[in-house]
Amino acid sequence: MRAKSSGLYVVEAVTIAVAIVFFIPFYFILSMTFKTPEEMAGFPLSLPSSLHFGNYVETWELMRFTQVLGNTLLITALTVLVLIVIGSLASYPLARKTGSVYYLVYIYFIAGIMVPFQLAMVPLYKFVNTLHLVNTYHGAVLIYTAINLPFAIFLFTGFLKSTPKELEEAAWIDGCSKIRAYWVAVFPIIKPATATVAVLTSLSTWNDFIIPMLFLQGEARRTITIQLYMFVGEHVTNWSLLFPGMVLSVVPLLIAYLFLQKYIIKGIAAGSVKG
Amino acid sequence: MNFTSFLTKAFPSNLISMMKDGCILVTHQDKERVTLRNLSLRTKEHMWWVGFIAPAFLIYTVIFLGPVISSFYYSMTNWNGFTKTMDFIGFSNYAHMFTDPTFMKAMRNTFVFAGLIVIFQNGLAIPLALALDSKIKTKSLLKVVFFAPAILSPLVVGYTWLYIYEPEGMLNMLLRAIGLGGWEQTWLGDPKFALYAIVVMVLWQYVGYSMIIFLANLQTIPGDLYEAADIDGAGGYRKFRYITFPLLAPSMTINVVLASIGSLKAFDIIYVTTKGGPFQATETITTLLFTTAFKKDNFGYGTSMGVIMFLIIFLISVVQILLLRRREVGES
Repeated sequence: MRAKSSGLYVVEAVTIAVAIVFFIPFYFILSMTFKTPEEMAGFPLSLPSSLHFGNYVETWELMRFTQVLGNTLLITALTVLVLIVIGSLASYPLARKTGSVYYLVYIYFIAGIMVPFQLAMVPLYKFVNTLHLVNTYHGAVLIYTAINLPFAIFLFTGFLKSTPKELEEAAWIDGCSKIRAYWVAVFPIIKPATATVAVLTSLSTWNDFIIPMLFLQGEARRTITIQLYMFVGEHVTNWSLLFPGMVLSVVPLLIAYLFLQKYIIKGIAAGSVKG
Repeated sequence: MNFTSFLTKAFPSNLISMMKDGCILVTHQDKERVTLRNLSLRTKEHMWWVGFIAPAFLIYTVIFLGPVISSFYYSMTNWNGFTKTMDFIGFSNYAHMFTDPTFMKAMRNTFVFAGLIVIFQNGLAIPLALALDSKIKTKSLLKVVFFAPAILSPLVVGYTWLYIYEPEGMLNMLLRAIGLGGWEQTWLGDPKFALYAIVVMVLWQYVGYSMIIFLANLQTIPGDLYEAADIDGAGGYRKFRYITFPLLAPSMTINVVLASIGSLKAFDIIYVTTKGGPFQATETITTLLFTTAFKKDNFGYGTSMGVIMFLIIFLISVVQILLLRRREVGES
């Protein structure tokens, strides 16, 4: 018994040591943002002498962070909303009906999981240009919705197959239309799948770089990632601005993560185990 | 009594045929009416379902799959992306690709990159998941720390490590501080190290992600299996080899496939740190595709690389799923 618990201490000590190594890059960037130029040249793991937020204020203004944050929030929220509505609506008949046409349509959607975005990228660029969707919110939301649909439909359909039909049938008998029955009797019971889709889509949309780089370069529509990329390009040697820029781009997600970590981790585990 | 039996004996066939006729007539009409009503009900129902599927179908087809399919056509042209005209050149792009040393180098790098990530990401995630599945006290905090890098954008991870790997950056300073100054390198600037340096960045970011998936799987393994093994006197290694590892097969399938697809498609983290350099040491198919199509304006050639990448990803995932699923069925 004694040997067992001391073994546990060894496991714990080793794991904590690994966790500290994992944490060093976070600490490094964060401490850099508070350091004076002289301190920056010193030992990288030393503590900053004081907490001065001057770098942050300057960076916030130079990056026009208020606007950029608003753009990112808007595009992410709209994508998640549209994806959940049209993705779950489409999955519902695909999960319930057994006809071969429905099965083919399902396969047609799921095939998209295997296709790398890079294959659509070049013609899509041309196409989006002709439709004048470059540098628009709805253009970005449409693209994100389209590329996330295969996985969303995969998750929703899988989940719907495990839910009972009695509720919606009762709603039909009561005279509900199909869409109303869906809204009152189906949508509420697929909440776990909805949460997983919301978490995974928010993360990938918020962090995406290639679509903003191709379609959202205009000043007024930039998201956090592309703004950070441009910012690094402009101030390539000015570390006292770059480090706060990086922290600012991470903080909104980090706050969301710390508050929602249970749901995020659960969502990812559920999404992949179901897969 | 006699009379009734007489009647039934005298007129059975007539009566029956009459009844039959009537019935058939009625049911026939009924049937027609019912099928008609059914038909209209069923078409109406189908119209609902079509309406449910249509928005997703349209957006997906027009914005994603349509461009993908047209890619196969563009990959057989010499289109530069601007002019109205382009020539159909058949498979020349593909033929050129396999004699193009730049592409062959990118392909080799892509496979080395993906191979290392699949092996080490899972190799590191399993012990961490086992540690967090044990009874250690700090496990909820540690889980948050290990998973945290996975929520960052590859862009931020790339920039963070760019500064760690600087010639005067954190890594070299740490090496100097512990007396290993001789190991100093210009990590991302040296063709010998650059690709491996990026592999380390990706591992830092995604080991926690794989770990979460293994952990979810570990928590489904029933405890009595280990109790039974204890009774049989099995040690820690044998328990891992004969219980844990085989029962981890489902999450192994997911993690191997996810890590393969993710690393084959990796673009952001390479593009923002090295742009494929130095001397193409970190050039992968995705970075080469991007520069060929958008910087060198060779859309046709770029898309043909996209097609090859799709075929590689498709083949690898199908083979992996088939092989790993068999292991799941066979052993669990």
